[in-house]
This record gives sequence, structure tokens and C-alpha cells, in this order.
Amino acid sequence: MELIWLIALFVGLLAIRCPVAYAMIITSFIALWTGNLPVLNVSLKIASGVDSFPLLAIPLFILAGNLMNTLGITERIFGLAGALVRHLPGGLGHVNVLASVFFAGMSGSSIADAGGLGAVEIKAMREAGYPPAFSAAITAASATIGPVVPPSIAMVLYAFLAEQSIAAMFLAGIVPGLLMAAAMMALVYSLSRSEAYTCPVMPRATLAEIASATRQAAVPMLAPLILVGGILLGVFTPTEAGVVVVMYALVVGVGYQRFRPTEVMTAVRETVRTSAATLFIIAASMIFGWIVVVHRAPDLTLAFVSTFIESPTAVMACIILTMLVIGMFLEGIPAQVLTVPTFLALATRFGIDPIHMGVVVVLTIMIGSLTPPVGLVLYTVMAISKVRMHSLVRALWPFYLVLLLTTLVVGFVPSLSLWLPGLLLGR
Amino acid sequence: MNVPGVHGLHIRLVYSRVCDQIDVLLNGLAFLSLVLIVTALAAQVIFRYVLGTPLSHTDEIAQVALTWLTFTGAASLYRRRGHIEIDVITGLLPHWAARLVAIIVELAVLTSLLLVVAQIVETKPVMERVIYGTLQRSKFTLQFLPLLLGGVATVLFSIEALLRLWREPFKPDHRFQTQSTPWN
Repeated sequence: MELIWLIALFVGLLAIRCPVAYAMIITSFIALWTGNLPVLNVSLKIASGVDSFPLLAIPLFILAGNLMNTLGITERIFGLAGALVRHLPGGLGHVNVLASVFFAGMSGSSIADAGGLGAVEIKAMREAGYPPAFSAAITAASATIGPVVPPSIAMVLYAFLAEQSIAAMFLAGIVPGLLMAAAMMALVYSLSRSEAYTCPVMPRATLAEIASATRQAAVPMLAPLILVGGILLGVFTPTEAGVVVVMYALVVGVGYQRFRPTEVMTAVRETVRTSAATLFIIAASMIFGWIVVVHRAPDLTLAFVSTFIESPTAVMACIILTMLVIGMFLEGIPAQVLTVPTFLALATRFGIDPIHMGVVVVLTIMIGSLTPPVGLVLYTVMAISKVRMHSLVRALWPFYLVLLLTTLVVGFVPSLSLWLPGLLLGR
Repeated sequence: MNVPGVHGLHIRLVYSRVCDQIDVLLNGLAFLSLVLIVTALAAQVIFRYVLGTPLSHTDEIAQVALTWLTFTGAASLYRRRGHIEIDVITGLLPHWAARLVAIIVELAVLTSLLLVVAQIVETKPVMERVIYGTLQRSKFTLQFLPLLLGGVATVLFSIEALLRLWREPFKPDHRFQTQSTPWN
């Protein structure tokens, strides 16, 4: 009963615009007082909350994404994707998705994709005569591929919370990420065929154009190979991979003569802001998570669920449904912090692989980032495209369905996530 | 001649200027922390994998910097409303109600951060033992120090916001209204 009051207090604080991290701290103090628990824990747990080497990957992957956008790498990626698939029915819609896949291999953040690459994509689609709402919708939807394909900040956080291997999480996201992209391209194809939107036909790129675009983007396109290869071969840790990508982006930027100190400073400042907001929630969640566990939330949920559910499939369906609802009202980081301990208890009890569950959690969080009232990717794309929310959400409906379908397929076919970690890491 | 309100306005302006300076300091610390993280880890990667002579302490230095980045950056973000928050419901409220809930939030944050600061001061002897791996103990390696600084700064920023809410016409983004800091 006390747990329900605490959750109600936390939700109430969020509703009156208390920042998420502070809502966790305030709720934790009240929980400690009312529960006669040692109040001293709060500052100790917060202070040591981010004392973790793997968490260093978070600011590094955010910085990598911001630098890609600042140093002109994004435009080259878009150019290559354009040369490869612009002639297909749906034209720049496909280019948008493919560019996001390429970008996802270097950046771990959907916001960096939506805010940086998204601006390039929307501008190009508008100039080519694509409807603004459709351009914005495909940009928002394709940005969600970013945190599924490695590297991924969301997966680093999940691995940290669930005490899983970051490398295994990264590998587990590759096939589902490509599946998302394929599903979105199929949707763009069918939308263009159904004439729901005007999708101007683009000319097929000549071999010379493809060769030129490949040359332009070849060096940045090596980044994902260096990153995943380096981690898999044990050359460097996922955290060090973050700094390798940052260094690589800086070197490439200098090589392209796009290195402008003021712009790089802006990228660093933006990274400081995003990282501090993310990491402070993680620090605050250390005490909040402890309170949740002390009040036996995972055990109680497990006992409750076990009374009417017996199969792992039904548990997976429950997890997906819960995350979809929570994702509508909470941003991805607090959503993970609140749910992962409980989901882990369920996964252990019902024999679901935690890596597989992690991929499903990240996929559902990405759907949440596109849905109102709280959807960071949605708001980022609204700000860039100047498309109003109701138009954007209406244009996004087919993409919601496709993303949901992909999540269900990934959720109910574990081998899609677990095949690569099994093959390359022997899990 | 005593003009009502002018003295109070002057005090608030001075207080805001002080907060501006603290904000600049926190921004600078957070910025340097990120630069330090990148530098330390990049140096480690280069020395270990390129030159074949691993450096010691770089991982611990990066971890210390991460703590500084988190807590100094978080305090500054609080003043700039940069933290993740949900404004859907308060956006629907009339101004008097929005002001009231904003005051409640500020008071709750102020109280909780004061408690955090008080706890740190109270438990200083215990927390001083928490260090980073093999790093030499110093003020900068004390895990609680950035949280203490960030906590005190957040308390000051919250008081600034309360003064604004109390004395000025309500604005939804009541916490930060100056132009003098580098993140604008």
C-alpha cells in the first residue's frame, strides 16, 4: 500500500512539472521517513550513483553524434544514401531511412539523428516537393533506429541497470535495427504506391554519381566497422569505443576542412547539457531504485503476474504493453530506471533472456519517444520541421503500426536478438 | 527617500548577478569535465593501443570527471529548466494555479536539496573515505564534493526562482531570465 502511495506521489510531482530527477529524490526522502529507513542513504547513493566506468560511454556517444552533425559528416552520409536508393518508389523516404541506418552506426542517440541528420533530410525532402507532414513523420520514425543499432546510449543504460554485457546488447540490436529499417522502407514503398502522399520520382544515380558519393562518405562509413570490430575483437571496451568514434569524427572533420572551433564548442556544450540531464537522473535513480526494491516492488509484481500468467510469451506481451503505456508519459531514461529491475525479476522467473528483453525494452521506448504527450523525438522533429503536432501524429500512424509490429516480431522471436551475440560472443 | 519595492528589486538584481556568476562557474566546470573525460580516455587509447605503453589512472580520472560533469551540469541545468520535466498539465492551468504549483515544486526541491547538503556535511567523515580506485586522495577526488557544490548551487537557484515567483508577474520559465551566461 505504501508503495502505491509513493508511486502516486512520484507521478503527482511529475504532473506538476517537477524535474524527473528531483521528483525521485523528493519521493525517496519521504519514503525513507515514512518507512523508518536510514535517511543517510540518500546523499551516499546519489554521490556514488554515476561512479561507473561503463557510464562514461554515455557522454562520449552523445558527443560523437553532435560532432557528426557539426563536422559535415551527416551531409555525406545522406548523399551516399541518396545515390543508392533515391530512384525507388518513395524516393527520398527510402534515403531518409537508409541515412538513419548509416548514422545509427556512429551515433547512439535518436535526438542527435532527429536534430542533426533530420534537419538535412527534411530540407531535402521539402525542396524535392514531398509533403511536410510525411517528411517530418519519416524523419521522426527513422530516428528511432539510432538507439537500436549500435552504438546505443539506451543499451548502455540497460546494460548498466541489468548488469549485462554492453557488447552483447550492441550485437543484439543489429538485426532488430535492420528489421525496423526494412519495415519502414516497405511502408514508404506501399504509401508511395497507394498515392497517400505525393512522392516525386527521383532519377537513378549513375555509376559515376554512386562512386563519387561513396568516395565522399567512405571514411565516415568506416566508423561503425571500427567500433563494432574493435569491441568484438577485444581491442577496446565499449567505453573506449566511444572515445575512438569521437577522435575519428574530429580527425575526419579536420580532413574535410569542416573543423570550426566555435561549432565544435557548441557541440561540446550541447553534449554537456544532454549528458548532465541524463546522468543526474541515473544518479537520482540509485536511491529511488533502492526504495523500490526495499518496498519489494519486483517481488510483488512477480507474485501478482504469476497468479494469472504462466507463459513467457504472455509475460513478453505484458512487458511490451506496459512499456508502451509508460513510454507515452515518461522519457526513456526514467522509464528504464523504473521498470528494468521489475522486468528483470519477471525475465528470470519466466526464462526470458535479459539481453532479448533489453532489446524489446529499447524498441518500446523508441515508440514512446514518438508518442505524445511526452515524446522527445516527436518534439525535436516538430521544432525542426515546423509541422504541428496533430499533423505529425496523423502522418506517423502507419509508422506506429510498423514499429509496433516490428517490436512484436522481435519480442516473440528471441533468435532475432540473440543470434548474433550467440554467434560472435558464444552466449 | 524610501521608494517601496525599489530596495527589494535591487537586492534581487544583486542576488541574480551572484547566481549568474555561480552559473558561469558551474558551466565552466562541467565543460572542463567533459574535455577531461575525452582527453584522459583518448590518451589511454593512444598510449595503450598505438604506443604500447598503457597509462595509469586515466580511467579513474575520467570517472572523477564524470561525477563533476553530472552534478555541476545538473545544477546549472536546473536554473535553465534543462532537466526532463512534463509540462503538459501545468500548461493547461490558469496562471494563478501554475504559479502555485511552481512554488510548491521549488519549495520541495529546495527542502530536499537542503537535506542532501546537510547529510553530506553530517556524513563527511564517512564519505571522505569513498575514493576512486588507486587515485591519490584530494579535494577533487572526493566523491561527495561535486554533489555538495551542485546541491548548494541548486538551493541558491531555487531561492532565486522563488523570489521571482513571489515578486514578479508569472512566467512559465521563471527560473532563468538573464542574458549574461554562455549557453544562451
